[in-house]
Amino acid sequence: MPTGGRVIDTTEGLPKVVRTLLQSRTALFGLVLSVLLVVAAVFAPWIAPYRPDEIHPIDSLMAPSARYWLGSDDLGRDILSRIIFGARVSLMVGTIAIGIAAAAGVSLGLVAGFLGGRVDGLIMRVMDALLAFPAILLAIALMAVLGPSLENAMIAIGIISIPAFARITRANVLSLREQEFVEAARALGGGGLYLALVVILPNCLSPIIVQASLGVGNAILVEAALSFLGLGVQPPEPSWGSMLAFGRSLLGQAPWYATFSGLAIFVTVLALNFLGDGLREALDPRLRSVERGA
Amino acid sequence: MASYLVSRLIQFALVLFFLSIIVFTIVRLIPGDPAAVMLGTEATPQALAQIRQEMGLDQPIPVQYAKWIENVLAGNFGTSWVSKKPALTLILGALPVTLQLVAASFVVALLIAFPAGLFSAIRPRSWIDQGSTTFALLGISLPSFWLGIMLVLLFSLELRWLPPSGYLSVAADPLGALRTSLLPAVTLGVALAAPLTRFLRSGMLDVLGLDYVRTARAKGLAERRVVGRHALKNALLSVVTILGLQLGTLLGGSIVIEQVFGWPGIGRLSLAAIQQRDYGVVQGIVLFVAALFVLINFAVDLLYLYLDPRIRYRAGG
Repeated sequence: MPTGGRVIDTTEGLPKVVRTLLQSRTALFGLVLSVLLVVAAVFAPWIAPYRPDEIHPIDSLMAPSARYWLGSDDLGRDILSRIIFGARVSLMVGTIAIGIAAAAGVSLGLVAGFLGGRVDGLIMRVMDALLAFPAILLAIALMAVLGPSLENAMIAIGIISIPAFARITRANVLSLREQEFVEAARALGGGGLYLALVVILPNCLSPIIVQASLGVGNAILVEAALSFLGLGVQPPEPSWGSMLAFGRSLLGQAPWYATFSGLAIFVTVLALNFLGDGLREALDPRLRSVERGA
Repeated sequence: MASYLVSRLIQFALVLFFLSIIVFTIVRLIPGDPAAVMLGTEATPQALAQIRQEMGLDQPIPVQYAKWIENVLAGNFGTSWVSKKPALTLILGALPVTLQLVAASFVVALLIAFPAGLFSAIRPRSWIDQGSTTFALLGISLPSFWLGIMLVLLFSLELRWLPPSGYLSVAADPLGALRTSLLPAVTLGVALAAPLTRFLRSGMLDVLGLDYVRTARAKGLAERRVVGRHALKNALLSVVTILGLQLGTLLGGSIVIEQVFGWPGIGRLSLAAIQQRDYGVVQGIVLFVAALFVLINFAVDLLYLYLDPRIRYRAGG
């Protein structure tokens, strides 16, 4: 078996990446906040003071108080509990949509970069055409086709995020394809599939990981925008975007509703962007080249 | 240079072709029979069949696509099945509203990003640099529709300085338009200013570290001249590229912001068309906006050619 694909010693590289990541204050802040959000989303039923759909008609539109920390909505539902359960929706849409985009985009980029020629031309022109749409417009058009729902929002956001992964993967494959270690693996008898998946792909992972971490934040923003426009997650399911849209209609009577729903989106996206930026620094290609030489 | 232009034109045409296929496919996949939507639930099968024939929906898909493209090239983007007006008339009617929003946001973005990016590059690690870097980081993560709502809460509902919503044309009432445009323009402008500040700062920092800038300083040129004449011109190259790309984002962002501030632009038109299953208008808008975006980026390419002699040289060689 050819061994040319093992150029990065992950046992040595990973602690280095984590160390660099933890040295940045903003990245650490992003990491801690992201972990807290995931914990809140996973353990929502135990953390949230109330069930998200628990109605208290006599407590309609209560201002923030000891009983309702972030106030209550028109049906007397606790806004904090809805925001905590809303984290599940946002993080789920963000991660699954980016999972879809990464799976499709990395595959397409790998095929385009590795095969080149007409296949490359065709794939990249379609990606260019997809990139030609303002992302939110394409997402809206896709939601019109698929119909508004949580699953369809994931698919639509996944589709609009594919070109970024395809482009990054292709660009990296193009530069790696001609490198000596790939030539060596080929000379040792490695077939096309082996070269693409075992030799080249692991060396493209750093930019893909960075794109994924930044992509999740962006996906959460698009989901919130779609739900805000009434095309995403449908009530009564708690989604930050639809809560914000409803809060806007009650802005004069209950300003806390829109304020806290939007703040939840902002803080989450900020944390993920901080983490993504930190990862970008930690996974710098120059660092990788040092590892490759080691 | 001519061969470069021809190759860019061919790429441009190819992207438009694939784009048209994507738009056509998306709209054909929208669930629900448009003929049934038009005639309502009481329609007879004969009436439905007649409408489908009139609309060409009984033809095979490739024939429908060819007819559609033929019409688009002749300037006919289809007809609204709700208002019976040509889609292009509706789009062109809403376009000035969106363009007013995009243009005003663009001005706001430049007013924020230029001083912030420039000063933070000239004085790295100063409080201005830290402030503008923090602004850029926060601005990128800020949901613009939430910012808009918060601005309405503060400036319209609390302070009562500006109207919470509504649109006035700048041609009809310049002063009124300024008042109604301010909040939407700041909302969308901040979203553009954040990445622009980052690009301008890093572009300027790169250029300020180059030998020719050191030479200009060594020759005793005033700092203002070094920055303004020598460094800024080259740093602008990267900014022009990002501006072209961000204009598309701005067009997309305006869809949501029009909804927040009740502006009757392309965004509101597209949402209404989707809700009414008005295929012709949805198709027209998506194609029109995407083609506009591709055209803007093509124009940016040409501008780049003009701004950077190195590309001109390479293209000519």
